[in-house]
Amino acid sequence: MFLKFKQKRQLLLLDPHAAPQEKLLKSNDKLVIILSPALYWVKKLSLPVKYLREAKRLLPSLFEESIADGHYSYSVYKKGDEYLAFAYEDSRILELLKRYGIEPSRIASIHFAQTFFDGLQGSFSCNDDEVLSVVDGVVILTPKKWAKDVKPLDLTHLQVPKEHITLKQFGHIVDNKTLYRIGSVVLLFMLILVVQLVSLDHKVQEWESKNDGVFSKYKLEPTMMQNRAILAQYKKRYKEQIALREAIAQLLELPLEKGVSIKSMTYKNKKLICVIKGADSAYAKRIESILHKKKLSGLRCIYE
Amino acid sequence: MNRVNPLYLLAITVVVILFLLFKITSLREELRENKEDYFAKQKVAVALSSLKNLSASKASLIRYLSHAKGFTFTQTQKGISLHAKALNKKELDRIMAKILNSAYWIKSMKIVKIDNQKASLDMEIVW
Repeated sequence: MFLKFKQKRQLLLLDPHAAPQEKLLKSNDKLVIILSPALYWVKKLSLPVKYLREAKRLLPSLFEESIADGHYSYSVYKKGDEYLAFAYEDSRILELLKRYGIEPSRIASIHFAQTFFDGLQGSFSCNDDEVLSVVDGVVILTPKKWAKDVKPLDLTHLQVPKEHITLKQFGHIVDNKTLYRIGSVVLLFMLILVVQLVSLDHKVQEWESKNDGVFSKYKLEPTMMQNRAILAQYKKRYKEQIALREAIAQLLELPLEKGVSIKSMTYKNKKLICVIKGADSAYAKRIESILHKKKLSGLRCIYE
Repeated sequence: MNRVNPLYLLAITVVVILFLLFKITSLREELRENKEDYFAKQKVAVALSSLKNLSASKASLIRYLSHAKGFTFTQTQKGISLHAKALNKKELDRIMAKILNSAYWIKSMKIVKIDNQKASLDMEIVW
């Protein structure tokens, strides 16, 4: 459950030529800002559209010819059969708020004077030189000297209308379209990253299970250290056995002279001892040189 | 006008993107390690398995020895010991060809020539 502390709200007419009351600025109350007609352009229109969103799309072209160049935001609402269209500069309003020392966090809502005073009868003071008056249902500013009976503007008992606007604090830097485009690109990029992340995570898990599967597939010992030790032992034995077979093969291929024979062949403790009978020293030397060339390890010949 | 400051959104987006990039990098590293680990394990496993399978069948040797003449052999859990007092040349050739051409682990061996036709044989093979 969210708790919302209800703060007292004060109404403030924001006009470039009338500074707000000091006590209003110094209080901690939230402010409902009423924009003076000096801060926006307004048009009363009959548009051949059914919905507000359709009307909203037409606003930039409707104001294009009649207002000065600038970064405008637009707003529209329906009043009877007609539309009231507004164009305003966010940066100008923000600048004014800043000038009067009004923090954006203090602002409860922002409204056009049109939505508050369209039912006004007579002229009401807005600043030293201008008055608020309603002409043909549109709230406008007129010079004070034109007005006959100027009444002071009392904001205390006014009802806050539902029509309000939200200022774009950074709209003048990047327009909405560009912002949405950048946002879409960033979101797409993030989506790609998330997809990549999920796919990588899946792959990591796949390889982990593959890793575990090696042990059962090849019936390995529980640790790789054990397996490596067994493999080293097997390799060593394999080398020894190959060496023994090579040595025997070489001995059997020796060119034995008449009267010379192999008396015995003994293999023990990884050494092969061959006893050759009937060989004289010259012949023994010849055999030794043959065996030496073959580089057989662990073979020793004894001559009798 | 309590709108979220786009700079905060930008900062959050950058943090999220950095986090995602960091996670992706670490997962890539993990994947690389897993792959390397797998190939290293498989290399050892294949080598071990092939060397284990290289050992010729015990049954085949015992069957051969049971039918051969002039031999006595004793079987242990670790291997087999052969003994032949006087084998003729042909038999010696056959048994030696059988053992040396197959992958039996010869632990010890002694062949002594008795005369031109006969020899004695003692051999110990381990599994």
